Amino acid sequence: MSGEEDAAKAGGEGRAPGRSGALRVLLVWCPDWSIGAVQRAQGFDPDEQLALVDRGIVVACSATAREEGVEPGLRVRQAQHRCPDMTVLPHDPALELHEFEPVMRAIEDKIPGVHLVRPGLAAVRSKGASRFYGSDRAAAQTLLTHLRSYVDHDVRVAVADGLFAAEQAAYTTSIESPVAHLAPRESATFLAHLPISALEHEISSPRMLNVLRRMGIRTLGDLATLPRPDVHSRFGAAGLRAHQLAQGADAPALDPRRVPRDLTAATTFEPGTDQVEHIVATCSPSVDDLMASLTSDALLCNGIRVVIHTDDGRVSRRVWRHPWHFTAAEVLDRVRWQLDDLSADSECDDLTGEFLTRMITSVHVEPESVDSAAHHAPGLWGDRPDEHVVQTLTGLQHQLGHEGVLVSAVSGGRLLDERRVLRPWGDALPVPRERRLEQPWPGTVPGPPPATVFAEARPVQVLTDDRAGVVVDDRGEVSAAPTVLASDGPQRITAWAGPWPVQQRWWRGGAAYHRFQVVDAGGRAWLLLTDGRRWWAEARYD
Amino acid sequence: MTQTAGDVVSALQEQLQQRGTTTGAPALPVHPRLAPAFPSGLRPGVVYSLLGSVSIALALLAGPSQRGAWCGVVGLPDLGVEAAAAWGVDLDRLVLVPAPTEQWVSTVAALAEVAGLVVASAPGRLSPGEVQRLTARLRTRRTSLVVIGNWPRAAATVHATTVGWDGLAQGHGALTRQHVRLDITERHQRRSVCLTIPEQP
Repeated sequence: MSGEEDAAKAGGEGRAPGRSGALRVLLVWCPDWSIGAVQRAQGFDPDEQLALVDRGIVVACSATAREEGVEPGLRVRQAQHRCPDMTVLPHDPALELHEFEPVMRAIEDKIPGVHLVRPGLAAVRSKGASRFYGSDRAAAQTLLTHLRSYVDHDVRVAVADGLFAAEQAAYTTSIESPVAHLAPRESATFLAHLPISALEHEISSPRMLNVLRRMGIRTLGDLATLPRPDVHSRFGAAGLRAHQLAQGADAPALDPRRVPRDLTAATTFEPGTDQVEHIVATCSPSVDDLMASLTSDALLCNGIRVVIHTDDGRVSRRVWRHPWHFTAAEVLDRVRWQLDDLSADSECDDLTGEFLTRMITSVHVEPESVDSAAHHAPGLWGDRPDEHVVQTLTGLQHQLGHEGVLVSAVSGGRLLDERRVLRPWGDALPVPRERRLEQPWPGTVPGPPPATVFAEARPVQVLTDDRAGVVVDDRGEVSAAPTVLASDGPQRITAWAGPWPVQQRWWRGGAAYHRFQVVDAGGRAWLLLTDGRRWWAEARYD
Repeated sequence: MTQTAGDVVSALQEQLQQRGTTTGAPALPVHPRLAPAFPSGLRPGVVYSLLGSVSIALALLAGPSQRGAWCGVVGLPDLGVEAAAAWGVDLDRLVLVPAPTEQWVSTVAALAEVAGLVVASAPGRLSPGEVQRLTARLRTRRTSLVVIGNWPRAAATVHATTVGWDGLAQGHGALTRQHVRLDITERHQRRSVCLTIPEQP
């Protein structure tokens, strides 16, 4: 086919002569990884109907839900209509990635230099492996056998030229024949027969695919015959990338990632126990080991994940972030707090009238965010405050409870209480980007900020001269001038202004509020909120 | 071995300190807006009683905070953090204990270990022994305490009275400025200072 020759010429630009463009890639694919990861992590039955949702759209669903007609891309409501008993969970890429780490490590056992494509999909260069194991097929087979014994999940393997071709080849496998092998230079022919929609995940430009389809270009082969400069000038970077992929000219390199060692500090209890101090003391040596291995790897850790399993199958999973790096004692404090929360929780769970206590069967402490110690030279960000300060405040926290000692920050928001962020001492405050202070917040209060902001708005009464309540209608019309404010006792209002509407998430059905500023005869100034009839004091200027 | 002159002076200063006099100890800086009210700053290691204004308490925190000292706030769950930041309080060095409940004294004493200035709401009844122990601790740590409310034998009592507000009328306008009068009673002397907050609307 002359098109292929053209393509070979066009694809040959900028590459060393005599070398085929794409790299031989050995790819490992775990189908339905998102669902599998969630099922394992949260202890779901594999037969349970389950869907993962991101921004109202189903991104993955279990096989049982698929049988009922649920598919990725549906709106949650449509999906629930088709399958009413389905459990809907938010999509959590971090969890998927976390669950995928052991698979990456297992691949690394056999072939070094693993490249993570996305959770559920990893690739290695096949060159060294096939020389070592004899051939591509032998390498793929060895890897598959190893992974099968290691990973409790369906695993498929594919070998092809380039990542894209390998991924597409992997999709042609089945449980019965889990290995796909495309001989060198066979990939372009294989790709040419694929429909244009295969590019959908690689290039997030549905418009381009739509235009191509309307132009009568239905397969990657059709696309590959077009002159590359024309595709580039018509569709820009996305077009260029699509054309390269269609011709099998994938990126000639993989980006091997150093898979971190498994540093989880796991402690199991047989039989289960509910003695918090005993649990913390038993965890202590393994946490010390964890800290020692972090130190020996020259790593610092400022986020940990504590996972606690109980005998009734519940899992308490929480990520603790720290403004600077953790010490072993600080990690154990967090384990203790999480255990305290868990036991406080079980008291509320008192449905049968009996006092329930959960037995803890295991505690896992995993470093969640680690960083090279070299990035944290003293004096830069992440430096610990004076040791004396840390000890004193942590001691106070032991005395008063985790939530008893707080640090604060100012954040964006309309209601004043939302603008105040309080976090327990030792938890990381939101970074300035998360505070969204610079965004416009229409409806914020002008003038100096009030010194007292009630954590919970206090009910007050705003009355007219004849002791009738002041009413504000939907259009913001005030029934009469407010003259008396009754909070601790009635006070005459000497000056007032309002209403100022607070548009607060009206799309979620939240009530519309109006704000008033008033000064009473006692010289105190107030910021009041009303929903029309009822009144609250939001803040006081004093 | 003979003592150097410096050692003798510091030992004497120590003794003076313990008798409640303030010679030699550097005063805590105050916010420039409050300088007329506290011309020589806040005395370290003593208790001030402040009545009538949380704003003034926040303004008092601003001075030590800007010098890099840690500050503590005890028993004020409704503190306006944004107002504190507006006064220039470094929130990264501000520790809040909103509900010390029964442990008011030990909380203030613990914060005195690390903070230059602690602002606390007035506690419930304290025994004279507790008061004495706490004041002794504050003196040795040279940490000042501002109690919002009454305090027995405070070094100074500050009454803040809001004289008026600018900017708000009948049905229109918005608060722009507060006029406050501070009446400070210190060692049987009384002085009054009028402030406008903020200076520029």
